[in-house]
Amino acid sequence: MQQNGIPEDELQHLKVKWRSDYYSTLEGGRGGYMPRYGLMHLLACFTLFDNEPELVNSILDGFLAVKREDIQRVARKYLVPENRAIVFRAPVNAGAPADAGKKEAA
Amino acid sequence: MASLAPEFSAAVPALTAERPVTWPKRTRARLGNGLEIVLAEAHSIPKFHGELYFRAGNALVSNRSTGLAEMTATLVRTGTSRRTSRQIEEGLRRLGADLGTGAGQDTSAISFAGLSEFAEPLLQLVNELAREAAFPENELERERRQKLEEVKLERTSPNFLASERLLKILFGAHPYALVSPTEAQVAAYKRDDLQTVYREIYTPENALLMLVGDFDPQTMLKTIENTFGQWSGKKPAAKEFPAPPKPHGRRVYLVHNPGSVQTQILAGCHAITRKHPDWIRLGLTNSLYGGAFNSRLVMNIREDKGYTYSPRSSVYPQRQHGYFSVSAAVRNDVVAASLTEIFYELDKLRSLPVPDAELADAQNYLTGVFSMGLATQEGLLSQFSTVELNELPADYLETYRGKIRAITPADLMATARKYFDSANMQIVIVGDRAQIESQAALFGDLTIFDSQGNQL
Repeated sequence: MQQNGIPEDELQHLKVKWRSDYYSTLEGGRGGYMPRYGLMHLLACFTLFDNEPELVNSILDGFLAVKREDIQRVARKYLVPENRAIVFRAPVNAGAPADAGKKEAA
Repeated sequence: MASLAPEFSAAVPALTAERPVTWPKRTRARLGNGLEIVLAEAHSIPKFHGELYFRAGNALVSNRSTGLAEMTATLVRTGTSRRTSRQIEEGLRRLGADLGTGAGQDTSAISFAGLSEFAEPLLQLVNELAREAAFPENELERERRQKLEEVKLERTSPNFLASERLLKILFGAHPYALVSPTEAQVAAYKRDDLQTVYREIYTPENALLMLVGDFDPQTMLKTIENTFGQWSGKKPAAKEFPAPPKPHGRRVYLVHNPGSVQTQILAGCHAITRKHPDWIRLGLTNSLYGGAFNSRLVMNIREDKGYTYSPRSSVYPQRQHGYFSVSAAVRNDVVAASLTEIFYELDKLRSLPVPDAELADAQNYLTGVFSMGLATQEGLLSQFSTVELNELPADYLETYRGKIRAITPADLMATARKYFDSANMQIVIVGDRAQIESQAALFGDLTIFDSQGNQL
């Protein structure tokens, strides 16, 4: 991703999925017992952090405006080895190689 | 800052009057090939949710093997005559859609949700899965490996072992007793057998297509006709299974789980299906007993005595028979004490009228969660499906809240006497035999099994 970015059609597919998921977030909740919890949660967050509950109507536009260059730029900035952590989880008896973490981090 | 000091209310404010539900417009249709269609408009978000149901599942083909309809459903989304599993998944992503397949005892289903603007391509994919599933050999082997892991793993779950044993006891030779296949059965599933099940069950005459969401019903109906109109196939012959005899006398079945630090209790008896006129009354009675967080059983053995974290009772309706059960995972030293309280609360509801205030709380709870469950496309879909699949009266949902409100303490006691059959409850406990056997034996004749189902 850092070298080649992502293809334009893949980005478009991701945006469709993102939009679909965003609508589901608004409607969804904590099961049938708290429908539209997602909408309440977003209203609360936008009010608390931005003092702007209206963002619930426009935040999606920001996501849909992302360009291929943005993806590549952000990947280069944040998805770097210094920011990386790898967790090995293995059963106690099986035992991961003692130096597995070292090799990967090198 | 003093002006911002919080004010606490001395009591919970009174409830406001119940508001009427605005029911979405429903459109019904049936195509020439027999496919039943129910459409409901819900314009909350620019999406729609749907299910293509088939009115048969594992029970219909249980004489061939256990879980066959479920494995068939799993394979349905792994390839068609036109697409590989990868192409199916990529297609779904392109449409921003979600899709799942599954089967229970009485139904098989393809469930999906997507953006309204892509309704046509999503329905075309659903149509392809329903008519042209290819059952690729490599996908079958992959799903088989996965299922083998699953059936091995579930034998380590006390919850699974308890419900497997209880259903065997309650349903005997009836297919509802068959909860999960054995490893040998999974190993023996054949591609031909799955394809036969597919041809029998996945037919338009046997199907119900339900869509709830943001669409114009007449346009949607045309899309459906264009998409599913050419499909053909008959309904499979219905199978009658003899009614399972009701177990008599309280008995205890201990599933030995060596070294277990707690004990899973599950006790149950026969009850009723959703079609039964007592169903709504039984729902409220169960809610008072152990079906809600503030119910008597939870207040007693969780809040007051601290025996368990999550006691719960439920009524399970299947198409032909239903059952009632109560479950709790408790500390090993309080198995007998927990069972005592479980039966005490059952018998108390059978013996004494419920106080009016407690009844009103339970009525508010059930009518409240019912109304909230109708606020989303998914919630509406689930409620409408319940009505259609169980062939409930057309006004079932519209009259539900009124029926709950009309229930009296005398109705509740009569319902508890009829269905909380404490003298004939079958008790399953899963735990370490050495620690719980003597406690279990206090409650009835005891039979002991290992986790593989062998009697010890």
